Amino acid sequence: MKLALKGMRTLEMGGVSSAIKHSGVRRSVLAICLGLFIGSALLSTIPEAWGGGNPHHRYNERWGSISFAHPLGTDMNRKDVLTQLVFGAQTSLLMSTLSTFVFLLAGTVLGVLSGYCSGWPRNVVLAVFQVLQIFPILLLLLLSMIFIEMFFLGRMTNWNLVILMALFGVFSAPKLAEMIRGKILALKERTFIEAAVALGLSHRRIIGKHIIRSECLPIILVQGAYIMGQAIMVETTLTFLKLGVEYPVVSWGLMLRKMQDGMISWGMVIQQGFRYSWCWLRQTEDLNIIARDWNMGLADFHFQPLFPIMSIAGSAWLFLELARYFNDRLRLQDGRG
Amino acid sequence: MKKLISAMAEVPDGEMEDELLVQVEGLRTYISTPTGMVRAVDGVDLNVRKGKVLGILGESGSGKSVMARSILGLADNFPGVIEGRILFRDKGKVENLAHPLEETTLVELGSDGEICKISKDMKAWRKQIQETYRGIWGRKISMIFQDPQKSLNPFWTVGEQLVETVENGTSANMPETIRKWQDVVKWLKKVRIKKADDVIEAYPHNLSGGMCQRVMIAMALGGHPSLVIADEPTTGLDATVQAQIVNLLKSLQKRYGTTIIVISHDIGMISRLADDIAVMYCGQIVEHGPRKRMVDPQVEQKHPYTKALLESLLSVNCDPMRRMEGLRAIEKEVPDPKNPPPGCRFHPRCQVYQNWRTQEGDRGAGTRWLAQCPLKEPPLVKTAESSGIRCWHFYDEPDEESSHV
Repeated sequence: MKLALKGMRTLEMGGVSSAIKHSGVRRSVLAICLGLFIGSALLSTIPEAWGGGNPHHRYNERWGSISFAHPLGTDMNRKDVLTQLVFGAQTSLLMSTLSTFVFLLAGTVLGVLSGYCSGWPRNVVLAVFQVLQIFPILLLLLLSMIFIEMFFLGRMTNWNLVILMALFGVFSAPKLAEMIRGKILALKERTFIEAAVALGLSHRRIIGKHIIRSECLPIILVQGAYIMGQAIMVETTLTFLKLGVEYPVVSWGLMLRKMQDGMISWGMVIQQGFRYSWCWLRQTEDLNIIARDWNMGLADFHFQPLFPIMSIAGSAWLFLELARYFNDRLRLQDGRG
Repeated sequence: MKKLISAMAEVPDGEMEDELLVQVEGLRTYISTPTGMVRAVDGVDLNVRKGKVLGILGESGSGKSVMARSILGLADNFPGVIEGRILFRDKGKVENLAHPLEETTLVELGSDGEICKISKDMKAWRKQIQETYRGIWGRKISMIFQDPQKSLNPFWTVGEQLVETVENGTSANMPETIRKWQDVVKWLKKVRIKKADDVIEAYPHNLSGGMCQRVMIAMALGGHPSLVIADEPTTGLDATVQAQIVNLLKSLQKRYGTTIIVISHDIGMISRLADDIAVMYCGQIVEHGPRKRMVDPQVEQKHPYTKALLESLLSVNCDPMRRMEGLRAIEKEVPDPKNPPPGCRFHPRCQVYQNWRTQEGDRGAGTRWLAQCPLKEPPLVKTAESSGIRCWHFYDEPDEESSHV
């Protein structure tokens, strides 16, 4: 009711209908994307809802071709690929949500610490940022994996992936923190912050309401959506490298890894590669449309058009890498055979 | 020229002090820039009477805003406030708001009495300022800023911002949001906004400058502070709106008995609003007194700078001969606040001093007080009629042989 009233007021005041139409279209696109995302997440959580069964059920046909019963065929273990994809999405979404949550929390807290506070917290945070940004994240993850295996958990437990995904959130947090820090430094000079101080608002309220929730929220949302897509890729990569989950759990990376044992021809590589890259594209595309939408509406991000290109290029690169890897394997097998 | 020294009255301090809300003594606020130390506020003494409006008048760059910020504890660039006391009286208790100076700041004087080194622990200073002002900001002292549209957060509606300060001012045990919003509407009506229900949901960019300033006034007065500092509250508004804002401030001030310090370069505005006027020049108060005396061009005993300011104003009902002459500007530029002229800071532009020097500067140099102008800084002298004048001119004995200008 209140929303509707607000909308009417905007119409009255704005007058220019094209802008509203535009924003309406944008909003509906955003809604559809969010719906797809949440819908697919829900579908994967309740497989009974779409009639999916057990991902480990073995059918009759090995490398079965696309049919009505198996829309994406069956794999070398005679399991249904689509069912596995959907169940794998569960793992991926859960893990990426975890790392996004950690990312947002760490990034925002560190950003506020380094921007609003002075003295040692700022210096420490800035130093940590700079050290973290020197190393590639994958390398950091591998190193921390070694530490985790040595000191905390044994090898190959499913909890390793949980810790690694949380660490991925922490390691990519400096990016968000730097952005928030920049915004806060700019905002601190604005009159309304000074006015808020002079009118006796508490620090908590100034940071929470006048800094985070007014100017930093768009950045946080966009970066969160962006990192979520990245986290899915990272989860897949880690599992593919035998650093993630194992058999009873289904995951996209695990599917890929299992697949490499059964690859026997180039045609199969390409066929299966397309099947799997499609699911990445699907997910990252969804997230990127959301990210771009938040962008256009709320913040001005200079590499905005790069989002879809980056996701496509990334997928293509990964696909080519995989193809080369399989090619080498095949050659070796040929040599042996 | 009448003799002022002899007319100097002994004002009993005890009686006066109860009426005073704020007493500023020897306040110095410097700002360090790459090209030198700007002496924005350089020894200001100011008395603000309880329940009255004090107008601070001065050209731009005379340090008015910096002084206001210093009183509010907002001047936190190095070195900021380095000397002085800000005494704030609240329910019979006197508190020195500048007390963190004692522990954090060390001012070293050179052999000639000039400040040669300032060391200040900014971190400790900021921390102590936070502690000192925690209960004061918004509740006892608040501020109305220069640009109303910039001092409201563009991301929140007016109501959402007003709720904060209104809530702040009233007691904490008021959890019902409805009552808070009723307070907001009440305050918007108090500042004479007609469609208060619509304005609550409007964003600052939906409102005009005048409306925003009304909202700002509601925010500043919402916590029922005893002192409100209004830093050029009418700048950037058109003339009719200016008059409305002035009337609004005046009526609210009378209704709540709030003390207001109004800072402006607009003599007309100040003379309509203020009970007392202080004139500021180059970081110092040069004259301080009741409004009637200060704005009346007929009064003889007046600082030459105040006189020049009044002459630069062309009022509608001034005498026709004066209007023929047009506007009279004060000659020369405002001095550089990084190194102000020695002695009286106004002497290079002072008509009285310059006339005297051209006429008889060589002859009577030793005997006249005016000879002190470029040499020694005049003190702020309290007289019976005004709270203070800072000028050597008034030290002159009337029975000296030389005739006056």
